[in-house]
Amino acid sequence: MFNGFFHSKASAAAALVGGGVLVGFGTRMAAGCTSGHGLCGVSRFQKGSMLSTAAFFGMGIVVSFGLRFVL
Amino acid sequence: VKEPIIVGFIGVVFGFTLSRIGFTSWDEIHKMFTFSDLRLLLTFAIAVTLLTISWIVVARATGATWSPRRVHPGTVVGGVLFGAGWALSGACPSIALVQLGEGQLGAGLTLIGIVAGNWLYSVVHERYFRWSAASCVDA
Repeated sequence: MFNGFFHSKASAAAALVGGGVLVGFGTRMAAGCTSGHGLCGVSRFQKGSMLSTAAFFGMGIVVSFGLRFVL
Repeated sequence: VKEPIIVGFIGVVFGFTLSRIGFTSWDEIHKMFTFSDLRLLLTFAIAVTLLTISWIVVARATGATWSPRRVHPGTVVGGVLFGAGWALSGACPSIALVQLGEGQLGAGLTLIGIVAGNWLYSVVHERYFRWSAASCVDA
């Protein structure tokens, strides 16, 4: 699947590095990631965690479906 | 003295589990986000449920408390950026390390990106944002 979307080595590398930058920037900005907000925060019904988790799951869905149209 | 060994052991179990359930696979993450396979979402729901029970049990037994995770200006925007990055790279922060351990060498690129993004945020935050947000580590 990954290779189906990113045919060339250059596009695959760009997706990994670019995605990584967004992951690093975003998790730092939101002060939490899948473990911190998604698991630990949501399971304690913390407002900030539930909001952030909704945001990153929502955007993950949008971008994943978006790949089908763009690539 | 023993604490690093215990924490390290828990980390090994965590990494092993993440690898075994397929959370380290780009394809599985893509299937989760496009709802073509609900297995990982179910796994996530079970993990959250078990944690909710665990917090209550531990709090009753030890009287421990945990710091709140409030909404701050970076909550939604940061989450949105992270979600885009997760869907593109197939990795959330700890996953990149597990992928590397599995021998997925591309995860090295993801890790470089994560470190760069983290550093970039610290610069941007210092210069433009300066709001207070609880740290990722809340012991």
